Amino acid sequence: MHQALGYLGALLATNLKAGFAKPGAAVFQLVLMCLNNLVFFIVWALYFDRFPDLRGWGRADVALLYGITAFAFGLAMAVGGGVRDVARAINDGSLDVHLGRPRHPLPSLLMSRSIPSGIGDMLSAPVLWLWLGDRGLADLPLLVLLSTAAGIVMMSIILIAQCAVFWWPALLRLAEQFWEVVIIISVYPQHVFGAGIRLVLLTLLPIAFVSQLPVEAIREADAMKVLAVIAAAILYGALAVVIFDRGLRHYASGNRLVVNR
Amino acid sequence: MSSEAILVENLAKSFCARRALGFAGMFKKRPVTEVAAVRGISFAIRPGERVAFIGPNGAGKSTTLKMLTGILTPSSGHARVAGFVPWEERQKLARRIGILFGQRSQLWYHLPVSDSLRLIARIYGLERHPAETRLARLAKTLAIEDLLERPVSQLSLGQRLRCEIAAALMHAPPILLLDEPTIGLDVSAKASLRDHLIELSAEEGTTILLTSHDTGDIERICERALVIDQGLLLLDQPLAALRAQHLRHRVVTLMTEEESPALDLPGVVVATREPHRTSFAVDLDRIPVERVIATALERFAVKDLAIENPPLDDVIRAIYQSAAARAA
Repeated sequence: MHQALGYLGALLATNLKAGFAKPGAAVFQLVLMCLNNLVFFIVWALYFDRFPDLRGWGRADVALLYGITAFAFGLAMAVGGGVRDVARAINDGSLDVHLGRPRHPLPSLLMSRSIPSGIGDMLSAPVLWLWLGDRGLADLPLLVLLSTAAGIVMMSIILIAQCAVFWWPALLRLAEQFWEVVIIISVYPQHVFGAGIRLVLLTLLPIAFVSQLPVEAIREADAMKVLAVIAAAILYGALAVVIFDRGLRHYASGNRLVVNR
Repeated sequence: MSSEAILVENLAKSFCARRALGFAGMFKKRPVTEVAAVRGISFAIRPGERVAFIGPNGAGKSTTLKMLTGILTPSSGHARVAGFVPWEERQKLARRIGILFGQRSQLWYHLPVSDSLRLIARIYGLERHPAETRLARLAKTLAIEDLLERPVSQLSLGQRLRCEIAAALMHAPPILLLDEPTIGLDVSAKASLRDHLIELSAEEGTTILLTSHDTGDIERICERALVIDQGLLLLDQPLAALRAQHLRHRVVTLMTEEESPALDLPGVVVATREPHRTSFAVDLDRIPVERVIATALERFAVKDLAIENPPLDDVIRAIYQSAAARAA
């Protein structure tokens, strides 16, 4: 256990160092992402100035939701930015390097890239929670816990989508861009949707666990919803690993053949 | 448990190829055909041997190498590498083999080389002190001491490949599998890399199996060759025997006072000619090379002479031609 944690720590430290190898550019990205998140929220601020109620939600609730999504996505990109490259690695055979090591290939694959703007996302979250979301410092530990769990769910969804390329290589572009779908749905309140869509967002495409449920858990001080988000992180995380392992059996290491007619 | 470093029996691998039907056919079921990349090959490699895996593009070299590392699972057959079944015990095997894919990097592009090598040592679970000792030794042998603190992005291809080899050898594996190790290198970088590999193999008794299109790699590094084509093993021989059996000629080059000497001997033809320097191709089935030399010394004022084996390229071409002729 100690050695495994040391290994993960070494991977993280190396990739963060690589992410900040050009410190000027990295800090620029980080600051811009922070500003981007805050500027984007102006749209919501303008909306709530005119319509103060969105089916029971106010500006502070949306700020919470936006902050949780920013922290979750930022964490996923800063720690496991390689998740966006999995489909490409499967398709072009660069997974070989990770498979040639005496470890499970997923940690080194996911942590093969650290995206500095992710840290900008993470830093913008407390501003959204504490300033615009009307929360106090006492709420911070729970918000970080829920956002971390949300980050694991988000990373699992993106990983599962990327793994589709093991079976259907033609889906490469779709799998590569699927993370954008996850972000777009996550940053909007989902309680406005009908029961059917909400059910999909709680099961097949579990984006509800990324943003909606964590906000509800905080708003309603509902311990069951907190546990549900943590359980979702464990379950979808495990599911993503199982799907990746199953997919490895179909890995063709860049030798996949397509015959043109 | 086998005493061979690598043992392969009837190893085969097929891939499913789906026919692309384009936009119009996107909802149709695409026909699947099976393409055999490797068709039941067998060989054994003893510890410490340096073996070349030769073949044209698509012959099945890389696929075989990937099965031997556990990256690919074979369709049928059996293999043991360092005593492990690669595709069943991939992680255990990884501690006993070093892998270098010439076109893929283990190093972090923006970081100093030493950072990558230290992380790789952690990946293999090496303690700090043995890792530093190993790093220092490899740096000396591979002449990368001055490169360790430079980012990989600032290295030439030859320098990077030497660092990649250090990465593959950090955990002191007894078996080294190299896929196109000198691809893209210039002549001097190739020569330097080959020298380093030979030195390492001699010092540590490392078994080497390499694939390459460059016959120079094979001639310089290896003592035995496996020739593969269309997934079938055509030949498995020591390099010397390969030459002796498949190309029965030598090249005799004379540097003479005479501008263009001529040798009217049976089985001797001029291969290349420059003023005062003439190369003759000698057919050993028709005339012994000693007689050609003796005649040349008798007739001309010879300042220097050289007897060369034919390039391995010619040997391999001859093997493919004879295999094709047998198939026809």
